[in-house]
Amino acid sequence: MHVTQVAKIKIPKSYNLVLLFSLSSKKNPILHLLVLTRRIKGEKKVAYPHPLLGAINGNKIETMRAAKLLQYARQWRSTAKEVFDHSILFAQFLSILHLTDTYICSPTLVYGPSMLPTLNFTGDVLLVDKLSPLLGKVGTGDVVLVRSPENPRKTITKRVLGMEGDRVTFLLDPAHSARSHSLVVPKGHVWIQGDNIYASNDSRHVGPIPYGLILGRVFCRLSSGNMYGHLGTLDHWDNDSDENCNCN
Amino acid sequence: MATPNFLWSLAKKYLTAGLIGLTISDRYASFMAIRGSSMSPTLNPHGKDSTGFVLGKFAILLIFASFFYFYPFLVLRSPSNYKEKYVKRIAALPGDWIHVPSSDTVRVPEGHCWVVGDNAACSTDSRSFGPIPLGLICGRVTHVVWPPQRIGRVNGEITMFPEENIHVLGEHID
Repeated sequence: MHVTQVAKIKIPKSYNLVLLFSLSSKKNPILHLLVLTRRIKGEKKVAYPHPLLGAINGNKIETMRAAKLLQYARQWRSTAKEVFDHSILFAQFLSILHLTDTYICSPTLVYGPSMLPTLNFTGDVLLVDKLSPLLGKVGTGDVVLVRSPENPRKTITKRVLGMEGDRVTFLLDPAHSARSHSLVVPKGHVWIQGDNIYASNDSRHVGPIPYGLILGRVFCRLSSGNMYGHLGTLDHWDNDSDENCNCN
Repeated sequence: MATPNFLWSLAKKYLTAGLIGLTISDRYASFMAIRGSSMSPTLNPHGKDSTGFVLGKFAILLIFASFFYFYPFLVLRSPSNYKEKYVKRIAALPGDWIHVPSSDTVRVPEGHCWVVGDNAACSTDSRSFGPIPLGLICGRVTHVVWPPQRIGRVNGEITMFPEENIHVLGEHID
């Protein structure tokens, strides 16, 4: 490197000599580029080619080209940093959205006749608490969102009427006969049943379902027609659940 | 002194990394250690402590049930304890007939599948708890990552069923 040549240039005191680049091109095999930084208190050091560079190489065009290149690199770097920062922010937003949806709570639209006195036939928007099934806090009487054992793409809303080890008694065909059947819920399973026992496809048909299929516990109704607020009927219905089944 | 600022920015960076990492491991892929010898000839052959795996999550893949024939190794929640996870090989899909020596020929019901371990001698699988709902499946095994000499894709071809006396009798007899 032509440090001796550098020494011939008068460098103002406020500049620091930092780098001596070597750029090669086809025309001019080696081009030495002197980069100076300005020392300003409280600011970042900014690298830029000194106007005296031409004197080193004796080729002003090459120097200007190199300077342009450096400028582009500087611009590109700041743009890349900005893009990176923005994409990180976006990813962070999506992650928070996903984690809230998976682990804390999420709104769900449910409809159908199977929970009729509690939930509307035409559709309710419910807030589903995703944390309690993970912690194992789902108990008898809770309304839960369950992945359907018959079709994994569907979710159903039912009421838990028995945990593992409970003895459950249920009517086999409530519309026509009073014949009842009772069994003990096996380990790791729950017994779910709709509130409307006449039109509900639930554990009476598919048997007890694994606890792992429970997706969340319903704790709040966001809207049902013109009614807003906490599920009053849910709590009220808890007391009457003995009509449907006896859990010891 | 800019120490509180520095600490704050460091904490923010770690929080961001944690959030994004958790999301990726939740939705797309994660590592998992395998213990026990229920899949012994294929995975974890010497019964040693652990083998690392990357799992592809498949919320979408449930749509393509025939996909299971190419990636038969599944990670599923245990039906008897929701905190445990099993790695099994899928043997039959909804609608298939399965012949079990201990009982009769069983038809796999709608939305269920039949899973077996490769090591029939010490494996808790569908032979003991019956067909399991597809909703319990939470991923598939694609790669072995930990014992460095065994790094690579999991061999997913169905050359043999774990036991000769369990075989699929017919496909999708409805």
